[in-house]
Amino acid sequence: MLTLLGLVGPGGAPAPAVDVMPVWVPLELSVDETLHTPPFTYQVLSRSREIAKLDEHLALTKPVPLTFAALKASNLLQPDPADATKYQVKLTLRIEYPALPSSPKKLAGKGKLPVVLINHGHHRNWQPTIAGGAITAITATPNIDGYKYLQDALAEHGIVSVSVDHNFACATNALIEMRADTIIAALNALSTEASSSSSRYHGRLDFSKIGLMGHSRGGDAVVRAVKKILAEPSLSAKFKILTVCSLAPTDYTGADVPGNRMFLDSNDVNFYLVVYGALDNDVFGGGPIPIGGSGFRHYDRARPPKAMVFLDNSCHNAFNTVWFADGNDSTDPRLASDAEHRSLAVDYIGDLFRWQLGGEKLGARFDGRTPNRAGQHASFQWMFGQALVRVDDFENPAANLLGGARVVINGPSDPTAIEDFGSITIAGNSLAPHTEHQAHVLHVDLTLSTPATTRVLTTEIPAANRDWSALDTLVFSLSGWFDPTSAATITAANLPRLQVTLVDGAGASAAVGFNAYGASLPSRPVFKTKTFLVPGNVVTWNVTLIRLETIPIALSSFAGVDLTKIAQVALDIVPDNDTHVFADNIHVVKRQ
Amino acid sequence: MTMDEPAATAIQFVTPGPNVPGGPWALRVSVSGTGFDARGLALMASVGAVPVQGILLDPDGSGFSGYLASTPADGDALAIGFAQLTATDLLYHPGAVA
Repeated sequence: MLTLLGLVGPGGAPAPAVDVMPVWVPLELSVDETLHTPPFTYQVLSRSREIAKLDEHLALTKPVPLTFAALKASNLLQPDPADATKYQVKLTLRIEYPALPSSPKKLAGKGKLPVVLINHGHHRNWQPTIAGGAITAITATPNIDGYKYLQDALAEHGIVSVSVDHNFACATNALIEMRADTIIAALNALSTEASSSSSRYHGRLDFSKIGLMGHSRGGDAVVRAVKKILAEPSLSAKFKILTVCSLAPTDYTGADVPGNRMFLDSNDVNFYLVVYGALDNDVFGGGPIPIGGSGFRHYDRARPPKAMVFLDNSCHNAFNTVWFADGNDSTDPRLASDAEHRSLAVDYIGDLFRWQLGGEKLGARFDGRTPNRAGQHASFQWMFGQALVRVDDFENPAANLLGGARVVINGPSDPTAIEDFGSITIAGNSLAPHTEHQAHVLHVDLTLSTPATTRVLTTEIPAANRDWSALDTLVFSLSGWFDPTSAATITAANLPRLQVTLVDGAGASAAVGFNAYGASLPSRPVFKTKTFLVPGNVVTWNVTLIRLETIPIALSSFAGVDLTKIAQVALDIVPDNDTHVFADNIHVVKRQ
Repeated sequence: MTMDEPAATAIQFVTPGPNVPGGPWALRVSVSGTGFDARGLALMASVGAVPVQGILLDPDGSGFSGYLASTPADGDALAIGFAQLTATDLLYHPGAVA
C-alpha cells in the first residue's frame, strides 16, 4: 500500500504527524429528539444560528448559565462576520497524516491520499470554570484526542484522518442532525484548506476516497451525513463517501415508524461496517423503551455490502481513550482490556479503511477468516464478496429478492413461520428485550413434537439467476433460542441446526448439514445483566442479546448438483433438536 | 462517570421567553439532581403525560432543562430516566411557575 501510494522513498517509511487545525464554521443549532412514547417519532424541533435563540436555549443551564458572551470569551463561538446576529462555531480538527521524519510538516509522497473523518459521540464537552458566581473560562473536553491510536495506524498506512470536534453538538445534547452537519462542515473546511496553494494539504487530499467512522451518537450521524451529502448535488459533486463504520452506534430513528427509519441504500456507499460490544453498558440495546437502539438495527436496515462485528468482551467507552480515562461504562470481569479495545479498533476499523480506501486485500477480516490480534471472540454477520447474489431476506412476504416463489412448510405440530424477530414470543417470554434485530426471520418451533417432515422452506431461483458457477459460497444467518436466564442456561441450550439443500434444474440435489458447516455454530450469546439504582430501588434487567450469525458453506460442498443451473434452495431441520430455530439472509457470494 | 439512572432533587417551572427554539411552548422546566451525565443514551423525562422536549443537560451533570408543549395537570409528577421512566416526588403546581 505504501509503495503503491509512492510514500516509501529514500527518506524512509512515513510516520504519523499531527496537525491541530481550528476552523470557524456556520453551524446551526439543531434541536432534535426522539419521543419516548409510541410511535417513537424522531424529529428536528428547530434550526437556527441566531445568537438570541442560542442564549435563550442555554439560559437555564446550571450552576451558571452558559452564554454566547462566555463562549465567545473562551474562543469557542464568535459572531458571524457577515451577520452579527448570528454565530460561528470553532471546530477543532485533529489531523494525522503520513510524513517523512525529515520533513514532518509535509505529507509524504506526491499523490492524493484517502481521507477518513472520525466522529466522537456524546460525552462531557464544554466545561465552565466558575468563580464568584460567574463563568471565568470554558474548557473544551479533548474528545477528539481519544482516537489517536487509530489515527496513528491509519497514517502509517497512508491515510489522512481527521478527528472532528463535536463538542458544540454535545453541549446542546444533539442526537443526529447537528452531528451530521458538523461532519459536512468539517469536510467543507478541509476542502477549502486543501484548495489553498499555501496549505500542506494542497492537492494531496482525495475527496473521492472518503471514509467516515462515528462512535455512539456519531455512529448514527455518519449514516445521516451520507444521506445529506447524497441529497445535495453541490456536496455530492465534491465528496464521495466510499465506506462508513458505525462503532457502538445509537439508533435514534430506528424505533420510529418504518418509513422514517434512516438507512443506507444499496448504492449509497460501497461497504458498511458495524462494530459493537456485547458488554456495552451505555448503548446496551435493551430496556423497556427502545429509542436508543443499537448497531443491530443499523446493520439490518443497511442494503450495501456490509458486515457486523459483535465483540463478546467489548464495552462502549474503551474505544476512546479520553472517555475511558473519564470512567469506563463497564466493570464486567470478562471485559477486554483497554489496550485490547484499541487493538480491535485498529484491526476492524483501521483495516476497513485500508481495504475500502487503500485497496489492500483485507476482506477476510470482515467475515471472520482473519482473526483479530487481541484473540477476542466475535460473532460475525456479513454480506459481501467480489460478486454477490442476494436470494432471500424474508422481508417481502410475496417473493424472495430474486422474485422467486418461497414456500414455508408449516407442519401441524411443528409451527414454522416468517415472523418479525422481536415480536416472537417463546414460553410466554417476548424476544423483544433479547434481540435488537430489525428483521423478519424464518422461525421453526421444534419444542412441541417430532415434526412430520424435516423440510421447512423452499425458495425458488428464477431462470435468469441460476448460474452460480462464478460464485463460491452460500451464506445464511442462523440463531436459536438460548434461554437467557443465566450463563448456564445459555450454555445448556441446544444449538439450532439446519441442513441446506441445493436443487438444480434437472432435479439433482445435494445437502450440507451442520457437521459439514460447523457443529459448534452459531456461537452462543453473551449473558448480560444491567443493574442500576433508581431512587429507593436496585433494578436489574437481563439484557442478553440473541444474535443472528452468518454461516458460510462452500458451494463445492454441494457435490452432484450443476452449479450453472441452481433452481431451488431448501432448508431442513434436524429432528429431535428440541429448540427454536431462526434463519435469515440466504445469499450467494464469491468471497474476497 | 457512572451509568446509573439519574436522581432529581428539585424542579422549577418557568414561562418560556420569546426566542426559545421550536416553540411555542407552554412551559420550560429546570431540574436539579445527580447523574445527568452525557452519554450515548438520551435522557427521557415527562411531567405527567406531557413529555419534556428539547432536553439540554447541564455541563456538570447536575440537572437538565427542557420544554413542555402543554400544561400538566396540577399535581403531576416528574418522571426521568435514561432507559425507563421512573416517577419522582417532584410535582407540578400551577402557582409555582416563575
